[in-house]
Amino acid sequence: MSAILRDRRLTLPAGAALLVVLPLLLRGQEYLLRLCNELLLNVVVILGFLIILGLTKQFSLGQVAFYGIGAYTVALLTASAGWNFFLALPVAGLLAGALAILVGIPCVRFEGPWFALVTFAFAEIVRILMIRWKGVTGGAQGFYNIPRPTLGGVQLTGEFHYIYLFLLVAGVAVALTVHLRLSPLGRLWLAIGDAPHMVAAMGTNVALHRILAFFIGSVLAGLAGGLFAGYATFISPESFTINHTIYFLTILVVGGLESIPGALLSVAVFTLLSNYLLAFYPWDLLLQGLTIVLFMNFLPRGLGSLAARLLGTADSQPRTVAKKA
Amino acid sequence: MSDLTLLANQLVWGVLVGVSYSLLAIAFSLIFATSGTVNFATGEFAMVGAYFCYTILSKLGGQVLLAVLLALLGLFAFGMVVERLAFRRLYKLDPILILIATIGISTMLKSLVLIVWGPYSKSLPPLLSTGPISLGPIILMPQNLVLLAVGLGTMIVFHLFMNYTRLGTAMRATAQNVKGASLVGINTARCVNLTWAIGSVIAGIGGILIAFAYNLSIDMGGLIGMKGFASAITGGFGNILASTYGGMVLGVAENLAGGLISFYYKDVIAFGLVVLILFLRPSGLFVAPTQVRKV
Repeated sequence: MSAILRDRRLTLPAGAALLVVLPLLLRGQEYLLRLCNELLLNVVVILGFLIILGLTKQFSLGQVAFYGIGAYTVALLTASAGWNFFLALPVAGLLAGALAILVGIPCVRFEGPWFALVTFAFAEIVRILMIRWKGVTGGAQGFYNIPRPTLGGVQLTGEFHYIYLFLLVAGVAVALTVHLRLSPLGRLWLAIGDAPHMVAAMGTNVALHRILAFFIGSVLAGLAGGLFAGYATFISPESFTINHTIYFLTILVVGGLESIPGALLSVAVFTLLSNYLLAFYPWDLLLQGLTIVLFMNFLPRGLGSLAARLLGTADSQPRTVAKKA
Repeated sequence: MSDLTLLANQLVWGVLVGVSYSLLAIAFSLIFATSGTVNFATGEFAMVGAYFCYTILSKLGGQVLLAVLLALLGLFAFGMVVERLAFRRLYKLDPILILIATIGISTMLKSLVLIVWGPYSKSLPPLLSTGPISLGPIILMPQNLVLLAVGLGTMIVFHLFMNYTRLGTAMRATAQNVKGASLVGINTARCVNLTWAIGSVIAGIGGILIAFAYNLSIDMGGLIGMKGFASAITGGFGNILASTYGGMVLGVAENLAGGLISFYYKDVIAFGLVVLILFLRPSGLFVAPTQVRKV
């Protein structure tokens, strides 16, 4: 029995089977299913953010813009142009990624926080366009009546239908991120995050890798936004403000920036808490800011490092990077 | 109003807003120089200063100078406390962690202002009761001239302080080389602490100027903060004189664009301009193009 449990080859099929069965158990429990759906959407965004901020250490202050672009792209293509959702979704992801490349080009070569400024500026521009470009986006009132996805004549309606779609996308996102993190490419990206000049000195095109990481992370954000549009059927600029980027940032910081298990744990905690936290607005914002500051000061590698320390597995000390004298 | 008059008035207004941006740009450059991080909470420091000023002014009633001074004193202490509690431990770590922590501070300040002062925008009472003066086609508000003078005066005082006092020299030494500065007997931790305090005060003056010129709102912090940072980049980051020019360029450019194209797209145009400058001339408009580290 224990030999069967330890057999690595069984992990993937067993995990997949578990994921197919679990929602069946929750069938009818709309509230729990809704939480799971929120969780899965957040997982996709956060893993995208982890690739950008956790691996290559590019501080994007505009992740919500790519999420929003994905959402509005799906809304426009399905509601206004009559596309099928499943055709619109990849387009939304790719559009977000393409814009990420354009945004990245002016700033990925520089040291320092230029990247944060440019991504912030981009998110601000996107938000203003969402509000002012009324003919296309519906303006501040938002975009109503986005059709629900249909596949083979069947329309997704309840929470239960969506969970399999979200499980599929989130599963792919987790698999992609884990694979990246363990692959030579992921290690190179971590090295770029820690010491870009050393990596550059060894002949690697750092700017290209930064753009690539930014592209992949933003495609994930765009896909999550597209899923959100098809799920919520209503989107408005209110859902895509800097506060949402801060929310994503808090989740990632608590998880430990570059730890995938930490990020997943943190997403779960925050999704469970978020419905309660919303009632405390604006104290919830204060709490998020405080969480970020406290974690940076006392646990800069987050829950991920705490778990690693308890299990005694990986290095749990913050890596210190030599600064210029 | 003819187009030319509109243009002239936007130009004057742009210079005024530009001075405030310049002050924030100086605060960015100063803190960056000594602690190696961009303080993304600079705009929120400015906002908190303006709100301090608002409350003290409403309590004191009329004594503007005293209210402003008290607000700035409060901000000075506030900057010191924040640096000591939230950032002192972080300098030896990866710079991006400090950057993230400044975002945490900015979020906290934004929500604190929302909690203490509420979501509605407020306005400060007018400084002077005299009516507008017309200088040919240009209509000037005397109050704006006072604000402009205060902004420029702050820059001059700051420049003199940095270059002609012992403390200013110690700060510049710390900014150039922390180890070297501590070897010659400078208390570098204290210097870094003081740059945060002084940076906060300068940002606060910028915030108060903006508050007198427009009004106070909870969104002002994020926006003027990023405009200040953008000004520093437009002029030349880290170079205080160049940052000052950068603020003027940005202020004038966005107000001209706002007047000529559309008020709503003012910020879009301002940020677009900065990205363009970053792309074409990353060192900034007023600095020789060699000083930016690239990968």
